[in-house]
Amino acid sequence: MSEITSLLRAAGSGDRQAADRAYALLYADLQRVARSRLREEGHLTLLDTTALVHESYLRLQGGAAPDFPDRHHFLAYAARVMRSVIVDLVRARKAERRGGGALHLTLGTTLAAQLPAADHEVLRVHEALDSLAAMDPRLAQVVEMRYFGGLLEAEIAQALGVTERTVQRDWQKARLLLSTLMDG
Amino acid sequence: MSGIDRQRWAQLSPLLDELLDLPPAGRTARLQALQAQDAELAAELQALLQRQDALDAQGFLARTALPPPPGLAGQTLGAYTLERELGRGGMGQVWLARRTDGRYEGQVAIKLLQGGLFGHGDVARFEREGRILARLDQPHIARLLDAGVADDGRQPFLVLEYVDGLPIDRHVQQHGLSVADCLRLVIDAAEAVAHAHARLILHRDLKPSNMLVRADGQLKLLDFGIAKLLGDQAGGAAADLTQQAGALFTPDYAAPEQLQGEDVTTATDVYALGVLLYQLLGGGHPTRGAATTPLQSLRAAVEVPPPRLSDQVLRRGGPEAKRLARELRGDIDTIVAKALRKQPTERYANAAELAEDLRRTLAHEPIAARPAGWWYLASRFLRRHRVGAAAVAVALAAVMGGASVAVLQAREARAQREQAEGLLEFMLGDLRKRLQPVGRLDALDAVGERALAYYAAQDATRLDADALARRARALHLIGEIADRRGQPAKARQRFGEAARSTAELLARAPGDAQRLFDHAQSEFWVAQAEWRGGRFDAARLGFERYRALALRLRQMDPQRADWQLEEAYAEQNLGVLDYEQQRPRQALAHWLRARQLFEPPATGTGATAAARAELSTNLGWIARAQEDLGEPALAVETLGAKIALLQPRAQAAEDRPGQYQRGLAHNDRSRLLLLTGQLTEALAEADLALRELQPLVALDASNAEWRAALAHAWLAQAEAHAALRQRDEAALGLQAADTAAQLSGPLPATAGPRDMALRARWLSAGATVSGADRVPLAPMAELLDRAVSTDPEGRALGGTRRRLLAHMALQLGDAMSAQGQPGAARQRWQQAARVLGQPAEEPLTQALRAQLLLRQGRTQEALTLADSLSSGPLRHPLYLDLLTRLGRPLPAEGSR
Repeated sequence: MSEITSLLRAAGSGDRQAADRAYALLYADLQRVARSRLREEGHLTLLDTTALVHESYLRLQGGAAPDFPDRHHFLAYAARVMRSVIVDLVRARKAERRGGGALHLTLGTTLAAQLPAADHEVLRVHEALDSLAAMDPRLAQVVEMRYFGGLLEAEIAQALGVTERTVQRDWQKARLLLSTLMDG
Repeated sequence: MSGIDRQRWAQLSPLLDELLDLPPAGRTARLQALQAQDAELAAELQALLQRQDALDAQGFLARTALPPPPGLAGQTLGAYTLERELGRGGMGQVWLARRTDGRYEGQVAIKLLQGGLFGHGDVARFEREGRILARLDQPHIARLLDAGVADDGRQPFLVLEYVDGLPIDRHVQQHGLSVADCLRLVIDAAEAVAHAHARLILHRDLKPSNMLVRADGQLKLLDFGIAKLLGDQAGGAAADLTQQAGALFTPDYAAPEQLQGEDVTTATDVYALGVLLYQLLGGGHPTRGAATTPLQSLRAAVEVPPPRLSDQVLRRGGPEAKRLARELRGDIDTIVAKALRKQPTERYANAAELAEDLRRTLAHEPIAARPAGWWYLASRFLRRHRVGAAAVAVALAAVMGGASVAVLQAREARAQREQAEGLLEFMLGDLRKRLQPVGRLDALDAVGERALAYYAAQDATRLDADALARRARALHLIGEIADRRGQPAKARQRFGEAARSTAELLARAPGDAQRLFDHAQSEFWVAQAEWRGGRFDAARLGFERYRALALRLRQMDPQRADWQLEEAYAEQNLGVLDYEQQRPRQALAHWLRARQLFEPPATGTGATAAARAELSTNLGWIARAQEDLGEPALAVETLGAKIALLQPRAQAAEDRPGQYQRGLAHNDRSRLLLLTGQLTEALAEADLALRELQPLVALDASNAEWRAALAHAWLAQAEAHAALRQRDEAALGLQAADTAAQLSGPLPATAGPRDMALRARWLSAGATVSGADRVPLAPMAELLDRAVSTDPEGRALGGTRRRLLAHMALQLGDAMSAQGQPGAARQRWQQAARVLGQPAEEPLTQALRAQLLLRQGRTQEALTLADSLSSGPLRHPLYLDLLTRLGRPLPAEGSR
């Protein structure tokens, strides 16, 4: 059993320290991968969030054959970590843009159209997600797994132990609630 | 709207669930009903549903937070340009693409496999698997056209035939297909799967979205991408991809053994086809029933037997349910039930059997899926032969007489035989060709042993000719594999057994060309195995038997090019056998006969690339023999013919092996022209070699063979310059050779005879250019010691390399002598003589020997030998030097 697996087991049974350690381990790994992906933008890089999470899992597992119950546990957990990674990256990018020099301004004509809007959305979803969790924790989890974790409906269904149809409905409801929360 | 609180949401949420599941018309009706109870609640729900549409329209949260990098469209991947995304799923994204170089017109689908799934996978392995899958060639399988890895080895991709169609279930629904039409589609699908099964490839993820039906009604199966080769249970390389993708099968179509993580077989695909049939024919999902959670439905798939299809259709109701149920009752119920058995062994063994039964149902013939009571067979025959009363009578009589049992047994035996046959056919054909070059012989071996076990279990005396032939082929294959795996004893044994089988077959029908051919093949391999084992006399006898059989074959039909080639192969091999045993004259005779036989199929109308390659090899051998026999001019001519043969064909794509071969031939010609003193021609020939080899090395600098060939070309040029007294040019050539093959560094521990010969040539040319008194001794001494310690007699070197090393040893001795070490020099000269070996006719060898005799003070012998060369073609600088040292006049310029 790899370190991450045993940590997740311990965390699952309420070991706070194990949970922190697992979080740190995952965070470091996902951040490294996510950063390298962002750096390579413009090249042919086909990995998206889903792949990041899977890749991270495989690496942390140390190449052992996936052990499915843990894998589902992992995916849910990784989505949460991924959320932090992305939010931190976006915040860092915003700061960099504010403090950035003339180079960023000149490049901005093409990038400004896409990036700030997307970054803006990420932060607002992140902030609204806590309110959503207060109203309906499972909906928040579905958003976390799908939007931040990039997981497929089937994967979310398996991880949460519900049907895919339920995940689809949850996602629709979560979007509705989020949009009202973000309006407010 | 923002006023929704937790309490309110608890009320809204279940109602939303309900409304979201309803079609638009149903929603309106439900909202109206709610309005009567609680107008405010209904209004709120209505506003939410409208918001839902607005959110869809603006694509709210449609992308993930960290979206895939933009701009994939227009990117190129190998020879393909991505056009638009077709979809994405667990395995990765699928893109529509077009071939950029115009070689394959039309669109293709490119599947970009997620790197994450592949994190630990070996890229080369993936490509190998892609190549194996590319062998699936069946009208109902979307072909795998290519597979590769882009983005610095991190992005594996598959290139597939693009299919523009609907998933089979939607197609059936949309066109309201009849039961018979559904069955026809499933038969097509099953036959496609059977094609793969016969090649030991499983699909493992059959489901409607992988079975597209085009507008013209053609069904195409997609996604053999996660298929796995059978016979590889050891979890070998080929299984890795699928193991990592193991979580990606679709639970709805997964067989119980798949869900339980047990062995997956051809019967697993049969199960998925059973689920598909059940659904297409109106039964819904066969096991899901009342299950509401994934866990429940998984458990049901493993534990709950599916209700009979026709009963289920009735239960589900609908306008046509009764008529449909009537149509399904009987055979179709039986077939579907058999495909859906929990125990894989109780299902149809493979997709071919399922297809066969479905076909029989359509044709109103008895199916295999049911124990054959006489009444059953009779009823089927009655239906089939509705009009022919006589036929009914005959059928009934046959059945009453117990023929039904025999019919069944015969079918079972045939099925078993065909399975083994399919296995063998695949082994002997595609699989071997694909696996051999990639070194997956262990897998082949296992398959071969399994096939042999099948034959061993049968009574050999009762084997008919076909079975005997297949047995021989299996033995033969296993022998070949053993041979390649370096198990010569086992190889000999298997080849011998195979040859006994083929000889027996031939004895039964001496006029049968195919049997003659098969036996000839057996004899070839027997001889080959003896040769590998170093038993040369036995090898010669084997090749002579092979030649005799090939001759008979050719006499049977002189027009058949492939039979003509057989005799040529025999001659070619006999020639190499002679050549390796230092009999160049006999070798040449064999090769010249082979040349006569190779030429028509290689140069005439309808010439094949394979025959050209054989002839090219043959010409190379002939040139070697001619060189050894002191006929350099003939050798130059032969190599010219070889180069002409290797000229690129008009429409051929880049032919790197051909280019390399041309480079080598120019190298040899340059060396031979130097031998005969045609220095400017030698220089020109070296330039031609450089022109072929330089682009190759520029293309792939990691190819050591190409680099070595390039170094030889530079050395050929340097030697010609040196002979022309153009020292600066010669020095540049030496430097370029060093750059090409790193000759000035330490000799690698892994260096073989080929590397040593190249280095010897470089040091030798260096010594010539710098002069005996100034040349550094250590590199030459070190090389010679290494060569002599591994192979004192120079056996592994072959004529040319032997001469290169001896020449260097001679120069080393000269340099030692010039630098005041006469004792050491004598020792080196003796080594040179040993390396040079037995007296040979080749003139440069003789000149070298004469030089060495001179160093030993045996001037008279040297003179005699030198004089014997004067009438020959030799004008090599070494010979001219010999004449100078002996005080003999140099040949006139004109004859140089």
